[in-house]
Amino acid sequence: MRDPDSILLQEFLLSGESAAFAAIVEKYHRPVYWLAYKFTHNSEDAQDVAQETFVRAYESLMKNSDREILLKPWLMTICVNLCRNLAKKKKNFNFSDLEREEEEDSFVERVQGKELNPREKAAQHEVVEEVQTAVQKLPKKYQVVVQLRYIQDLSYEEIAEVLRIPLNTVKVHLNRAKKTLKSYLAPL
Amino acid sequence: MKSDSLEPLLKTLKPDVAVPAGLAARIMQAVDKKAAVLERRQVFWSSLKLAFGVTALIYGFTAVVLNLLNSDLSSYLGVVNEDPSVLLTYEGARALLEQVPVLSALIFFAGLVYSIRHLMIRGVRARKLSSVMAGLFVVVAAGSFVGGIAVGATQSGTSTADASSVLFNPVVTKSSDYQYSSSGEVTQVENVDADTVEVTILLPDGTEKTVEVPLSVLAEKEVIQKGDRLYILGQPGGFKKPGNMKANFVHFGQ
Repeated sequence: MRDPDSILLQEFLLSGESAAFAAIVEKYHRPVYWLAYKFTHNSEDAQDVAQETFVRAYESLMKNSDREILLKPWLMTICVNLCRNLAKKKKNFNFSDLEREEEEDSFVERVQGKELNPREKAAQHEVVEEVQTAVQKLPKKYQVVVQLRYIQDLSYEEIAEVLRIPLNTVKVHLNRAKKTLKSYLAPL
Repeated sequence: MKSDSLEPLLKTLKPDVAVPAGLAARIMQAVDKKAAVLERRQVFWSSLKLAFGVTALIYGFTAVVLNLLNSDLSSYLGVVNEDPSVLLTYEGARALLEQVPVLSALIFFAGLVYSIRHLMIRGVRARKLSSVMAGLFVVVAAGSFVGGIAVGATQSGTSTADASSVLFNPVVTKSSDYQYSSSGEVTQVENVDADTVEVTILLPDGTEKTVEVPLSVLAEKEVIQKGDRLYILGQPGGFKKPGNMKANFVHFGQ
């Protein structure tokens, strides 16, 4: 059975019409926006990044239509690169943090003693919502890998490719993110 | 919390921010704009390539025919007439026909400019329109080519085959370079050196004319003998080589 993404892509490449590209936009504009928002933390910037991601993808596909790509990770890569450029301008996210592995233990130790405050606990009755809140308390670099892994459903290899960081770093980030989350959610 | 209970919980995670309404439409609007720009760029380059390509094709075709005819000069003249005065009647037609490739190119470029201007405005329908325009230009260019030959034939009162061969006349590629001088029967041939022979011809008015003929102007194994007919074409007193003209002499055997 053919991958639905490759069917979408094939349909677009065969017709070459921007209308056929609409199906790709419809399917992926949400994950791209979510990822962009994770980096920019600003809805306007995230929308701009999402828009530019698809414009660049369209341009690239029109110029070089015969290559094989995995649509989702490819779009995510474009999105991350655009966020990288934006971050350079605005300095609102330090991308070099993504690659940093040191000081992780001290961070974990630091947060281990920290519990979710009672007010938050009262507000979040559902366990899932507790997890959601806990994830948002993670440092951004962990949030990004957690989002790519569990919301965008990318493999470790794809995350490494998208973020341009070593595979091992992805594993370390995820491992430490889980460790931190466990400490947040320990009382549950 | 148990270590193995976190993984399923993480899989239930949802994005922490709602996607703004109309984002997909906004993206598609931007993509459409980009598509129009890319389309125009593509049309511009393909039209340019097409125009250059077809113009080159016309010239290439002309060159091939010229070369083919070049190797069969005397038979061409045989088709027209041995009398050089007939050659002169082709002057007008030739002058017209010589301009055909230039005219074709001009038509192409005019069409190109028109199509680009038109497509710049229309944008999205560019591709289809450009292929129609390209087809039209090919027809117009081919029409002007064939039409030019037909007009030449009508003006000179000969067949289209003769008129087209005049177009590709390798002896006189530019009418301004052509000047009929004289013709007559060869009465004497003397070797001057390894590369040149001195030929004396008897002109129609009864006088004799002696000219030096470089052997390089003759075809391989071709020799000038007594009794042959020799036309001297070109500027009087010289052996000018206009265009791709190989020689000023047109030599017929007996």
